[in-house]
Amino acid sequence: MKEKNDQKSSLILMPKIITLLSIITFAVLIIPYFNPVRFLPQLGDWSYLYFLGNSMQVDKQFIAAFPGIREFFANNAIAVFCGYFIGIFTVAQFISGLFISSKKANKSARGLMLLMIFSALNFAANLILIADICSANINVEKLGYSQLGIRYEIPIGTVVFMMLALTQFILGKIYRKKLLIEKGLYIKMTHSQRVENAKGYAFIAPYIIGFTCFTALPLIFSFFSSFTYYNITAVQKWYGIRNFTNLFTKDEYFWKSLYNTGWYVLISVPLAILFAMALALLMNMKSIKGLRYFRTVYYLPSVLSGVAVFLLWQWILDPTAGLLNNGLSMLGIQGPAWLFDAKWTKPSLVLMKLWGVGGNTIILLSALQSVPQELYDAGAVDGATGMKKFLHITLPMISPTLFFVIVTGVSGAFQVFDSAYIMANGTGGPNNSMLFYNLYLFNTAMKDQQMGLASAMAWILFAIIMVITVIQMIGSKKWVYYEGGKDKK
Amino acid sequence: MMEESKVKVENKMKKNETKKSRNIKLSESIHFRQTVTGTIGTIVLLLGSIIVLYPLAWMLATALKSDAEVMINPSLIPWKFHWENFAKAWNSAPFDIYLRNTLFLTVCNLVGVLLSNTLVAYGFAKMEFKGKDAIFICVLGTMMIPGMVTMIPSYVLFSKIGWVGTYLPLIVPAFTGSAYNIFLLRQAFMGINQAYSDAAKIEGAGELKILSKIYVPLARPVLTTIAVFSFNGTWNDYFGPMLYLNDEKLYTLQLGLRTFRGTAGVEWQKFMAASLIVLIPTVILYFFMQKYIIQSVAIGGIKG
Repeated sequence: MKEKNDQKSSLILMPKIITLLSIITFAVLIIPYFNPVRFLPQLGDWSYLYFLGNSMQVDKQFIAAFPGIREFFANNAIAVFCGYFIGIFTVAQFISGLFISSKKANKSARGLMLLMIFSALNFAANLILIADICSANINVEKLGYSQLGIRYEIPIGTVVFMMLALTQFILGKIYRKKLLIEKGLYIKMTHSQRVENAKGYAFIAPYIIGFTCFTALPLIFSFFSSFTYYNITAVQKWYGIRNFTNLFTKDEYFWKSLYNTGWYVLISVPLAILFAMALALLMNMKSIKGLRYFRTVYYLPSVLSGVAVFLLWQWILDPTAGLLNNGLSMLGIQGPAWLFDAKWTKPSLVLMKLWGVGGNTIILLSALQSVPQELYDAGAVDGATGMKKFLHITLPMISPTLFFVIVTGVSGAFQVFDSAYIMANGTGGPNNSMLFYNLYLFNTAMKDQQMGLASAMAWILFAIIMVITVIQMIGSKKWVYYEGGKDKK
Repeated sequence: MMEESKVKVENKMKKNETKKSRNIKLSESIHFRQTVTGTIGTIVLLLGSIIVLYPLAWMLATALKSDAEVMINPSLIPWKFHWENFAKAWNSAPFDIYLRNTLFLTVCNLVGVLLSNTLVAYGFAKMEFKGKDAIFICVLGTMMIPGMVTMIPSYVLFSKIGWVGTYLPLIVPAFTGSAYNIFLLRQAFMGINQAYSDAAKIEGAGELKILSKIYVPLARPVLTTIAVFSFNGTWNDYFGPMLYLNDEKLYTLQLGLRTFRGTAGVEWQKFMAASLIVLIPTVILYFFMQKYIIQSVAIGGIKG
């Protein structure tokens, strides 16, 4: 009986303690900020530079000799970035901490989960900051500045934050376990389950390693880089949102490349889908002969790729002896200079893309074939004819596939790169008419070595594609029909 | 009263009869219409397939023409067949070395892709572990990320650890699996009857044995498709080698073709000959494997 009471009281007390800790963490962050005596070295770089600024035990003589040293540290991108995130995580910890004492069970459980995540992140950010300071110290040593009395101290604030975050995390974990036991939801893993778990992780280990090294860390690093000035050799410098503002306000090529890409998406995607749809409908007719032959032939260009195909198309589009202009002249039409005429470069690439329309045709065809015949028969009984059948039976039934084709098509067209890069020799072609977004991005990164700027561009592209996909998903509710109302994954 | 109803019934029967005959006529006309539209459709598709194939035929024709003929004879049939163009093109750049390099990369990638994706997909399909669903959603989510976002930091990573200029950036990632392949294989593994593996387990077989003796043979069509796509992907990859290789001795066929184009002026017959040689393995592979390829493309579209 007594034990149970203990349990109860700890269940009441613990959330209060955790909430209190959240408030303390927040206070540690916020109070120095409002302390006018020890104000931030740079007002613009909010957060946490305060600790850094005060930790620099630099003697004045040294600053006079190397005037840039203070800026070096103040602009150290990793430190600033960590500072920002420590700020954000602390506020999040504070807010989620408030929910924990909430009377509503699900709210407090959710708050607990969030708090644990944010305190773990806060801990990690502080750890990275300390590592950065240590590496800066090593650098100083290497350069021989340490004899002059320069050394960066690990700020006390960082240690305080780490301790607080760790305590919160551990308390949260204990509290969660207790909550689960209280509700009877806590399941202890048996030995065989643990073995199964370990085996499962062993099987997916290659992917986990790959995901961490080639996706997750690069994503984080890329996001971080987009706020810095970085040319691979020098130290990454904190640049705030200047990469983004410069792109939007000062960079005409940025807009040009966006325009080119938008043009390409708007023209090539609808045309490609229209052609694919028409071909698939033709192939789906019952009295077509040689379906296998057609499928094989139309899909063939989709497996052909690489430089050879681009060379072939350069030759087809050759203004004087090319196949296309030869054919046109036989019809009495003087063909344009295609890849050499700024007006015709993008249509050339669209033509090339239409050659490979068979991939979508195959996908749409198999969707058409899976429409049950009974629906058409029922439609025929009700007097539906060709067009009506198509609009009211075929289109709704294949709409999920059509949606898939459109989404992947748009996202692929936004990332058009290879064709433009090879056809125009890595430049933007005549009058930059083939300077697509990814091409400009690539040249920014590899030719100009502006990795920070290029990362910012990559994230803008990511955001654009995400926004368009979300819009398509919202729009899809109006026209995409899922059989049995099941959700598509 | 009786008579009236009799007349009615008779009338009805008459009506039905005319309806029936009309139906027969209708179905005949439908049949006729279908054959007509079918023929028209076949002709349209045939014309389309000629348009699709014509560039390839023209490519071959160009490759067989002489230097003087290329610019003035647009016909499909060369005045004289210059088969030696292929040998000339092949020897005018170190294509032997390029071919060897490409084959090496292709084989490494093939091994990596098959090995890693099989293991990972089996883990997702048949093992039970904590957070499986969440991780799998992560796997699917990575397909949304545009390549350029991870391209820059990956390049930075590889250059910092000194891998730029070697084959490692082009091989190692293949050994970690890729989202689309994992998805395809997982789907195939999940469709395999659990009873087989249960029986094997009772006999005392370990997971790896079950995987290699039961699941891999049963999922052979999907594995074949993945292998074909992996072969094509590596064989045709231009971007990766262009980014990471700078020594001409390490160049692949794609890079070689590109530099060849840059150095050899406007000798289109040579470019087309070399291009054809590079394209031929993919074409042959496609014709042999097209059943699997087309099937999996269709499935990917419907389930994706």
